[in-house]
Amino acid sequence: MASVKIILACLVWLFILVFWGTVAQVDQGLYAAQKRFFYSYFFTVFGFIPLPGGQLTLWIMFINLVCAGLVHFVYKWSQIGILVIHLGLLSYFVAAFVTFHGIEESNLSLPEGEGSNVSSSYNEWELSIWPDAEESPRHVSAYDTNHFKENLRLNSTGSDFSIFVRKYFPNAEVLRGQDLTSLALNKEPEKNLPGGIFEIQTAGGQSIPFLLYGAASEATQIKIGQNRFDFALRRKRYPLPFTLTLQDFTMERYPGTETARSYQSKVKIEYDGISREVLIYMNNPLRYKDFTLYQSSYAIDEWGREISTLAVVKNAGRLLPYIASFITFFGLVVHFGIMGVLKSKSRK
Amino acid sequence: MKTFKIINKFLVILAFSLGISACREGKIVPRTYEETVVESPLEKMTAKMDASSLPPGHPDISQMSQMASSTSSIDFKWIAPQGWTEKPGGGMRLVTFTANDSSPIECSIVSLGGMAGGLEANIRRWMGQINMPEIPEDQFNAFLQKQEEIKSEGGLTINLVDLTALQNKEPQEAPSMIAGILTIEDKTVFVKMTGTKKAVQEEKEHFRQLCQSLQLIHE
Amino acid sequence: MVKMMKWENIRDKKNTRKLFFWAIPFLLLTSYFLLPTKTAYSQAFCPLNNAPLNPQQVQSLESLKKIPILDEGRIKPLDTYARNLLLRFSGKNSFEKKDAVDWFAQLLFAAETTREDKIFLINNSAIPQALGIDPEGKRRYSFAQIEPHIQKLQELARAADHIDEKKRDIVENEIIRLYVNIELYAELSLNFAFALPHPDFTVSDPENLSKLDLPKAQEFSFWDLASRAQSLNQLADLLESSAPNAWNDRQKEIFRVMQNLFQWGNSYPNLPLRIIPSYSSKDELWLSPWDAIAQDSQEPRSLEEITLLKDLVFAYWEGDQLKFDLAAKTFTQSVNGRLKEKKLKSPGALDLEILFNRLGLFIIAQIFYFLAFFIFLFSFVISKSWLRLTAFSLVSFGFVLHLAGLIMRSIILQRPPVSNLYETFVFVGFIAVLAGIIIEFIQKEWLGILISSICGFIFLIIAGKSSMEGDTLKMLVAVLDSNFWLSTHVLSITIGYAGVCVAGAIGHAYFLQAIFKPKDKEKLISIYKILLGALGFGLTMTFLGTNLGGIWADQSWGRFWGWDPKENGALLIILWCAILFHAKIAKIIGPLGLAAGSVLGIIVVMWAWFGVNLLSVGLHSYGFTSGIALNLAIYVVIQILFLLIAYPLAKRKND
Repeated sequence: MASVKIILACLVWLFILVFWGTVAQVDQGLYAAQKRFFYSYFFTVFGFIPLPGGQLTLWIMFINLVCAGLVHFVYKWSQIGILVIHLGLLSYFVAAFVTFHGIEESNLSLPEGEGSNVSSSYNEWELSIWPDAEESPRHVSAYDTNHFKENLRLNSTGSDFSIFVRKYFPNAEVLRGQDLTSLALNKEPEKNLPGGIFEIQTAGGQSIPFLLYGAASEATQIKIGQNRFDFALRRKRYPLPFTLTLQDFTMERYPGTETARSYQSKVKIEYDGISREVLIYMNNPLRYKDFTLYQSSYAIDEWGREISTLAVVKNAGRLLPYIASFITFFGLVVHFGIMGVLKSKSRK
Repeated sequence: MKTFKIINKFLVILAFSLGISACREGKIVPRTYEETVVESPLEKMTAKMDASSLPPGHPDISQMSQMASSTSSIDFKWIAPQGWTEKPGGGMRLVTFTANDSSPIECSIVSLGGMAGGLEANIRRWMGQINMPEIPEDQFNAFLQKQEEIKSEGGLTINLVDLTALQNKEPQEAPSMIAGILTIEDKTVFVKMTGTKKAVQEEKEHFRQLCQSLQLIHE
Repeated sequence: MVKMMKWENIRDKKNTRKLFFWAIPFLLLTSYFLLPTKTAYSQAFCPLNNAPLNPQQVQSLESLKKIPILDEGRIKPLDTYARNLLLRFSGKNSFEKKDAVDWFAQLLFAAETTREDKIFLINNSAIPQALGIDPEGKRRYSFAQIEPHIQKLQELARAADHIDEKKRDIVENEIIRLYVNIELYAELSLNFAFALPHPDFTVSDPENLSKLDLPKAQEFSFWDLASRAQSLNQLADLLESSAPNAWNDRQKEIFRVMQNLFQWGNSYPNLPLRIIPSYSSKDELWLSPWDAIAQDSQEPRSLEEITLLKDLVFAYWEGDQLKFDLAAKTFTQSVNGRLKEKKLKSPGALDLEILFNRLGLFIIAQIFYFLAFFIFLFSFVISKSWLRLTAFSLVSFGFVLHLAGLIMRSIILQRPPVSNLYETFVFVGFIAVLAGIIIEFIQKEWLGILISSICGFIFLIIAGKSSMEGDTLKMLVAVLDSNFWLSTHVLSITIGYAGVCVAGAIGHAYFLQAIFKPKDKEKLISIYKILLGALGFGLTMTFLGTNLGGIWADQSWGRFWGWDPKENGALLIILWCAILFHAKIAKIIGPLGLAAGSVLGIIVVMWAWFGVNLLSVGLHSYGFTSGIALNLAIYVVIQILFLLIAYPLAKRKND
């Protein structure tokens, strides 16, 4: 497991995988290609022949590196470069692991004047329920839709009714306001709009069916017994440890062109009773704890309001790749520097 | 070396089991969280009104809409055309109407502050929204000249913009729009009906009736 | 002093005056079909006989070159604009041995004379056929040839435009390109229509003439009358004295002229020649002459500047060099003065750019590199020690020019010169030449010279080809705006590309040495060591560049690594180098294998550099896609053939 031949085979296979995955992105889209080639342990060709995926290859490389470190590596000062390089590479593996399992990417779109303490997922959806009331904050119960299937029962917390999923399609179209058809999944997963037909069964035996669609701009209100609840099929919400309000959005273009030169959002961030104003613009994100908020894009809605979209990234391991880069680069410089000196000495 | 071989095997198995465990399904339990929604001041006030509004399908609730928009300095009254279903709006959207299934249209009345971008810019934007190709300046101006101006019962001047006039070559199912624009004091109000070309043309008369019924109510 | 100039473009011996007066209305009429989305004007055409101007030509257009213009978001001298325009139309930046600006001046001031100029390059022979034009050997066509088939071209272009950009084939793209170029040509020719006499503005009534302070009855230009707006308005009062159907000839003339003025004023919006900065202090917009007229600003400078432009046109027609220069210089001064107020570009930077354009530094550097290579070959015939020094000096001269060019670009653009594909070619060439010079210093045995000359020459040629997209001194999209991480990322990764390419070049040298002089073992080993050094250098810099790219991505949108095609491309280079080094450690390949691997490494670099642009997915698409795929494929085939032949040969000779 420590042999150089293994790492060589892995490097060659990784090379092939990277090339293949890159070309596959043209047809399958970035997201699908990433999932199939790089995030998987195995993937199949021609329907049934399995090939190792990116994750598996990287795991093998990691194990091989650890073993090689224990068995093969020569610990002499002349080899210090090599050692540092591979220590750096080890850090990459660690960084990749932490990031891959810990990162949460979402976004927050706010029209001027509005604010929120939750961000929205790019590709994942939830069925959210909250009691219909005026005061903010709402107490939301949300079910992630990735496990939805026919006749699945959703257990509710503390209410006297349950919800059944009768139909659910990750990409759907509404027919005549009453029924759903399933559509093929889009290459770009953000474009999928799900739809579902659900049924509430109350303790009193009442059965209320209703339809929810991902493109609905407002929640559906349903009265159950004495209480009124709001139901929505919307992109999964990630609670943030702060509330962000967009106070002003401005954009500048290059003169005489439509090319955007810069855009910026003036936001107010509130947490733990503290409130402050921050300017977020290209290459100047807002950082708070594990979160980083970037100016991502903007839009104008059908009423002519400006909407700023901020990318929200939660990543505890954000700085790990920086450390890994530094170590490895340092090792490379040292190693080739040493080699250069030694070789020129031998030449003379 | 032998020990290493065993350790290697173990590590590989561990890797696999980790992978498999990720696929296991858990029970369906909801996540709970507190969601804070900060609304722009106008929205906040109208939202409060909405809380007491009736569920969709209730006939002629122009009184309710009146209350909903009473927080802005301009109040409107209108009469829903026959066969149209009225739904209360939220925020800047004062009301939404739908017609029956055979003429699927959606019509809304929206009140915006200020010039709201100007007449021309808005029309061009709407054209873009229904995927209409750009037309040359002179054609555009000629089109604008031909558009109707009606006076409502409340004495308000409404400029109608019927985009179906520019869509002669499009099929009946092409998305289309007819809008009415009125400017009062410092607000601009849009009455916008969207639907297929056929439906918009069919409901045009109802649309005009709605515009004609618009009345101001000062507090 | 009237200068007689040669008009090669006017083939027929007709009275040039008559030609001129057919020109403007005719152009307008045809332009009516060309610009359906912009303007709608169809002036009735009628020929007239009394032309007040003789078409002459001005000798020197230096003063014209310096006029600033806002194009693609950047303030540049008219010289650059003219060169890019010609390059864009015809693929060359000169026409019939004249400077681009000469032809451009003709287009602006006397467009009719350019009708027969074969300047429109049509790359694909299917297109002239589809339009019904006889194919030309040199693939360049004149406006006169294309004009009769404009309708068809428009149809085809519209159809092609409906197809999704990624799915268009090469012919469809070329059709769109041609159509856009023809539109641009027509639009540019209209910019100075206000300065030239036209029947629409005939004033013959003596009283009108005296009130308007005009000389004898004749056709006047739009501007002649528009600049007398106040007097005209006074005259317009006359119109109120009687009903329209009872107007006398005099009143009718006034009305007709005013109506035409109004129509013309609104007919030419948004023409592409933006040479007048907006008069409002906050605006960064620039206006074309017609836009400035339509604005009807009361600014005294506005009237002045437009009148100066009119003088410019007249002076050009009269062949009066003095007047021409005066008008151009005064205009430029006025504009520059306003730019200074707004704290925008200084005239010095424009002069630098004109100088840069003229020097063509990179072309001269190319020549030096080529000569050095030639001497290298020559050294096989005659071996003299001073040949090496000569070649080395040539390479060094070329290098200095190359460096100067890069520095000038950085000053002109106020940013490091590696932000678009063209610039990366120039820069990689630069680093490769530098690497070669360093190698020559160390080894002193022609290897460095060989690398510098070949790499320098080849990269500059490729750069030249990719510059046909238009202005290579482009502005940056918002995301790519100057940023420390981005600049360092691009710089280091291009240095990395250069390193790996140099290693590949050394690999080739190794093969040739092994095949032709297998006895010289010492030389072989020396080359091998330098190969390892170059490969190591390339790996280190590519690795650094890739990581800086990751840091930049993390700083800009929160993702260090996203398996994006461009990121993957860089990763492939790193993996390839790692594979070679590990294979060497595992003793699976020897020096020859490493040489072969380095040669293949160039292909990996090409893939990462612009192969991925062909895929157009993710956050990394720039330009220059047509033609690359084919060239890349040809290159790969040639390299593989080389290896298939050289490797066995070298192995046999060295065992």
